[in-house]
Amino acid sequence: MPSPAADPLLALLSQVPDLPPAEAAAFAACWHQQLRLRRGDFLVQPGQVEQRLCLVQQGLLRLYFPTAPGEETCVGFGHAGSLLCAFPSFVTGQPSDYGIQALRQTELLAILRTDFLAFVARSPALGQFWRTALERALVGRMAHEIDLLLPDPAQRLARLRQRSPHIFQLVPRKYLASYLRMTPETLSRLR
Amino acid sequence: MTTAHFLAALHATVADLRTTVQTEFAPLSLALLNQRLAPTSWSILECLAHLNAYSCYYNDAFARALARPAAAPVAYMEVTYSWLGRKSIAMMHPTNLNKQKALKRLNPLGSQLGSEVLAEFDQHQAQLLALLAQARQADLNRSAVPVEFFRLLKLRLGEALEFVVVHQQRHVQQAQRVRAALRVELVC
Repeated sequence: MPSPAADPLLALLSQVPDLPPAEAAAFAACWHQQLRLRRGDFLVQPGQVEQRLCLVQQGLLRLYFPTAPGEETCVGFGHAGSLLCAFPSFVTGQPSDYGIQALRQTELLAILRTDFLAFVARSPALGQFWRTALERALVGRMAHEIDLLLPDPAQRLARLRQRSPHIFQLVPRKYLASYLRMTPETLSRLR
Repeated sequence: MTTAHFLAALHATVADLRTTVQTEFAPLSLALLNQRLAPTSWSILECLAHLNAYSCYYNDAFARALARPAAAPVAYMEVTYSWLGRKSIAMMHPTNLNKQKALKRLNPLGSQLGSEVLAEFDQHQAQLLALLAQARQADLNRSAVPVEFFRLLKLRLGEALEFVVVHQQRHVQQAQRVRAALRVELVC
């Protein structure tokens, strides 16, 4: 039986319409860094500068923000098929406020930030793909921002259920609770 | 609902499903179409192959049932349901989130399928649309369609048509969920 999530890179390329085969091959070849994280390992530690963009082949990661010593808030999750980076640092080149940590054994493919941005600048098809990806990500971020403005935890949960039902099968409850700005106890009472 | 409205609604749904498959699934590569999210869940092509297996049987059964035209004009006749029909439709309806186990011989799990599945699906849908058009002259309340897995039981023609359409909706939606999970998305 073929492994689940056989080839996210293939999935990625299939989403770039009108990409000439030669460009596709050159682009695919640039994802040369293969990373394997064990549970608990960090992909990015707060304070590091993000140099690469990762594509999750399998596994699960969380993006989190350290709010106080010993406390942190989950702000996002990466699973098979996610393009992942500490975005603010990726864009600005400043040290990252966010951390990214593997919640399970995780395999990723990475491309250097400079390589990736060069491709996006050079290829109209990849440029279009990247813009669409950014737009989608922005819409998702705004949806989450509205979640956080809602005073009723049940409403926040219902909105996430509507938006990303698959996440409930993937992510442990305590991280979902943190993402929804509620305690694990509240989440378990609501479910 | 009257026969005319009932059939128009089914016709629109089937046309939608057909477009969905043509636009969302047909452009994908075979590797993606065959990709499974979990070892025991269906790939997009397996969802469609399962529907094809149903269509093979039911399209023929409908054609046979439609061979006999109604005695009187039926456009304004109310469509009614039997207990079995109502139960079957409720069970298969996409709003019923419970998993239903597919019969073993209708379960394509573990196969490697080709793009002929898509072509076959499209043919079946064209057939079904033609059958729905033909059904405008038929008495939908006549018990005429033997149930696939137990042929002594019969469904009324109308409820059998609705059963097949909600079943298709169910699995096209399942395939769309697989499609959504295959999509590469930026997380930031």
